Amino acid sequence: MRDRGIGSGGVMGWFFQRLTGIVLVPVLLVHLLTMHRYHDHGLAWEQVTNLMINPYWKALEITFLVLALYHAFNGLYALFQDYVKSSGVRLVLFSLTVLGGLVLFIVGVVTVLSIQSPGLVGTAGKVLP
Amino acid sequence: MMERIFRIFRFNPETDKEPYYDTFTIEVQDTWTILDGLNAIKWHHDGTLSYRRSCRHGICGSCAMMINGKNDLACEKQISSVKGEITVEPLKGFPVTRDLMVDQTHFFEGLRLVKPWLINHTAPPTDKERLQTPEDRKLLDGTWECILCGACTSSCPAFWDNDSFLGPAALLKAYRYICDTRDEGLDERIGILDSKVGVWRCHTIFNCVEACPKDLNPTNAIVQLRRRLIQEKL
Ligand code: SF4
Ligand code: FES
Repeated sequence: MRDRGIGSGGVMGWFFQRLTGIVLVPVLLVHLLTMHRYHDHGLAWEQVTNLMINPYWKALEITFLVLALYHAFNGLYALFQDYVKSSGVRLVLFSLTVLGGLVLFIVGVVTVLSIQSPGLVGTAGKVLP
Repeated sequence: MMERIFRIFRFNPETDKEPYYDTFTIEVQDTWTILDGLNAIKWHHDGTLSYRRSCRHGICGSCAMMINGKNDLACEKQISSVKGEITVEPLKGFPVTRDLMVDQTHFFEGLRLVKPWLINHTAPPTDKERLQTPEDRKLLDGTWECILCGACTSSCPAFWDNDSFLGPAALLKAYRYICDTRDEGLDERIGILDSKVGVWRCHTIFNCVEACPKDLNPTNAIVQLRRRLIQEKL
């Protein structure tokens, strides 16, 4: 008899994967159209920072970050569940998935919150002319 | 009578290191099925050829095998419907015990886990059967016809990579009882269905639908089971 241990159900993971997938469609479109819009002179960083000082945009970007990270890492974990047979290895991969998601979440949130003023931000945090 | 060429997968784990293919050219009649062809080979050419069959009427599910790359029932598939050389191989995804015979122990273990029988804790009426309305009975159509041949599970890539996955046949069987209005066994089955070997391992690839010789739709059953689990758990 193969290992068919019961316990690690998937109803939540499956449901939220679909839900985040659906919500991500409009959120991703808004994000792409506003944050990655190309202008005549390339990417308009100034316009991005102009938007990002608005707390509502910050909230939207953090929502996007949470949804995208959940969707990506939950999808990755589903692959591990499909292909990794050893429950020990699966546990390690699960921990790494959660850790990877958390690290990227922190990096993303810090980046979003650190944009406090419009304009080009130099390496020393100075607004360039 | 006409001549047809059969190319048959052969493997005897006791004597062969590797599987190989044997070719037989035999006289067949227009009305013969693949199973008739295999019988002719076994009875008149090579008595060691091994395959499983029983009813010869598409009912017992014993004779599922891969015929020219597609899972089918040897006793239903007409030789005349196959063009050119006829390649016959065992069902993929199961260990080969000999030639066209595969070990389905694991397949039936998985089936038993979903408790494929009517669970009802209420005592039946003493003067009649547990009756259903015609509408309730209709819900079972497309589920009860499964003959457990294993063609669907053997065609499922999710099963090839993870043979702990219950697979489409066991899940269709689970749905056959769960959608039965006389059944009260959802609670007893929910653990295995929602487990890491249950419905979430299906990625709606639809191979099972294509493979089923009875034209059933195990993918739809899996989707319905997911719907029930979500209703129950969320
Ligand atoms: S669903 Fe179809 S292919 Fe699968 S076991 Fe039943 S009859 Fe065979
Ligand atoms: S021999 Fe019974 S289904 Fe083919």
